[in-house]
Amino acid sequence: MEYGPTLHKSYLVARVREALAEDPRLNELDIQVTVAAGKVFLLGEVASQERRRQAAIVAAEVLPEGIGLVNNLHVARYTESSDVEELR
Amino acid sequence: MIRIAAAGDLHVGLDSVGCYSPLLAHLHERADVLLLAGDLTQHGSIDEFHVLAKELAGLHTPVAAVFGNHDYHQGHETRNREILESVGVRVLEGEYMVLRMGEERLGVAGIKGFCGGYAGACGAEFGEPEMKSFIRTTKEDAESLRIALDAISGCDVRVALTHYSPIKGTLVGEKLEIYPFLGSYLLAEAIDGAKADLALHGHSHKGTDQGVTPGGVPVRNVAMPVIRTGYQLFSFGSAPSPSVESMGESTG
Ligand SMILES: [Fe+2]
Ligand SMILES: [Fe+2]
Repeated sequence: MEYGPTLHKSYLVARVREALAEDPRLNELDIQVTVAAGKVFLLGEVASQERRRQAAIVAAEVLPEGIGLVNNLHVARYTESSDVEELR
Repeated sequence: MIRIAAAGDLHVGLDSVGCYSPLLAHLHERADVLLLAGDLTQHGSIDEFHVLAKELAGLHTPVAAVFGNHDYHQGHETRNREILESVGVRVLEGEYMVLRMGEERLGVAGIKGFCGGYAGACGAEFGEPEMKSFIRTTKEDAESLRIALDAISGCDVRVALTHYSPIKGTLVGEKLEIYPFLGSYLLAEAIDGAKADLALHGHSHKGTDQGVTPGGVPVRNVAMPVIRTGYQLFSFGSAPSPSVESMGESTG
């Protein structure tokens, strides 16, 4: 797989993760980034549809030309509360 | 009977208006207090704290919170604290809170805490100034937690509330390489020293909900991505308090 002379696959993953964490539009530290079949995959969960969309924009900006992006992020859904855990 | 609701890592953004408050609709029927374990907002901005304050305003349940790393990102901690306090939320930064519930007193000692790793594989206050200040921050936070826990030692139930994790047990599911950035054993040492009844933390989104300190204190990771609910519920109260016991009654 060719990502350019200096952009090894693992540096590409690091570059994307860094952008997702540090870009002020996003600041997402928990998105999993994987490279497979010449594409970058965004995996995991974010809090809103807007953050899911924004993550793809931020990631795409740091990708070299010709590298595809697959946005598999899903939006978290929470129910109201748990059962009570009796501790004493 | 003391009933505690707890959640961390709300990560409220400007797009979160009306997202958290519906989950709190029945809180007052289920819990006596809501404890928030940090990463209350996504970027730590003042505007986000206004959104969060609206979500928490008007609750009939006392709320206490610690900040998380996300809440520190833009350097507005002082203003953000004021915003939360304006809607009655107590912010604990090395501080404690005591709530009286009938015959019993609940004490909560809270601090964000910091990282550094766990016994046997942790950083030391040695070498470059940056490394020394990194580990010193953790030591100072652990010491603040110890002092706050000491102040609530007379309470019937004593809870330690942090953002970073005191133990590795509740991190299972995270990449091993990032454990040193998820918490510090120094927090657990303070919790064990005080023989706290419960330790609550967040920060570890991919971790596990339950763990225990070396001294046997239950630890619960209440990060919302872990608990999958608006809050987790805990209760203390099957053991009657000594004064009630001497009158031959039971609190049930
Ligand atoms: Fe978080
Ligand atoms: Fe965090």
